Amino acid sequence: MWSAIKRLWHKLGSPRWFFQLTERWELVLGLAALVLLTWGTVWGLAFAPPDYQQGNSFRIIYLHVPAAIVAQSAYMLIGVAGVVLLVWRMKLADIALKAAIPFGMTMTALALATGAIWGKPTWGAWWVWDARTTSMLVLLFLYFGLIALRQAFTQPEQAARACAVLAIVGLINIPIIKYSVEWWLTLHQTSTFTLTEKPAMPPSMYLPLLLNVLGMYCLFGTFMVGRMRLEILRREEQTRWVQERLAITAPSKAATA
Amino acid sequence: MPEPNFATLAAFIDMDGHGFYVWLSVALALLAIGANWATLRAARRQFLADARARAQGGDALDRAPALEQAAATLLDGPLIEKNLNADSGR
Repeated sequence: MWSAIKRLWHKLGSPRWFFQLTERWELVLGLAALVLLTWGTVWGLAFAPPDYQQGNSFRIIYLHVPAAIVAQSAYMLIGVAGVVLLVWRMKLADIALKAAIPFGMTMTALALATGAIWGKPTWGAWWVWDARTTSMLVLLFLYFGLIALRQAFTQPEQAARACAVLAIVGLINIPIIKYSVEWWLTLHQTSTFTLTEKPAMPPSMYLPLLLNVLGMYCLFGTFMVGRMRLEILRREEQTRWVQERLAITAPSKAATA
Repeated sequence: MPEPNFATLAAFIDMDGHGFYVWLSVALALLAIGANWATLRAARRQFLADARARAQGGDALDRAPALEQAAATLLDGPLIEKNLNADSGR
């Protein structure tokens, strides 16, 4: 078992190996995301019963919660990639770090926007400087910071290291987001999903939510793999395998190389 | 799966007056997913176009020595001929 993990770890050092491994992942994950999100959203919007207090406005949960969960998971992945990059200097870690940012940032923005929209009929205000909403806003700024920091450096190695440091420092915000509703008195409700407790909602309400969370993870995987593969091609463009892959090298040159 | 929660399509769209909030959220989610898909697709296309352009530029550079040699042969033709004539005359 340990030797298998060690072998996999060593293989992860090769972007080419990852590129070949993930040949069909984008398609499979994309299809899974399409099925799960369609099923979960239709079930949640049309079939799930309304909330006894919030009525039908609660249906925003089927978009808001998956977006918020994936936004935080994406940042955790970025932080872990930052650690791997700084400690083991693995090329693929920087590629993963860079690839996770766009989707994570979009999902954070979506979680904030849908939260604001949900806040209007529920709290009577589009925005409140509540601990949960504010810490999510900080997460969005961390994503902006990661993009800006990468563009601020001309040397890719320096940019990668700086982004890794910021990503690791920013990890402190994740438990703050998670426990903000418990540490402070907030308008925001407590966590919808926990790994240790049974959901307070009936299955007809939480099952479509579970489907959408799984679907959103699959969608994250789709874009993550797609962006990582593109980044690998960019960085390895001069190598023979990429040249052959892109079929842009003259056959005689490829044969002699 | 249970029965639909709404009797008519109009009721489904209206959602007891909350339709605006719910459908706006749905539209934003679709926009966010669509934006990710479109940017990735555009980046891929851009990369392939750039890679092809670079490859064509590279091919031109690869051919350059051969072109230079051909040009030199053409230019030095009379000289070579003169040398050959000189050799044959010896």
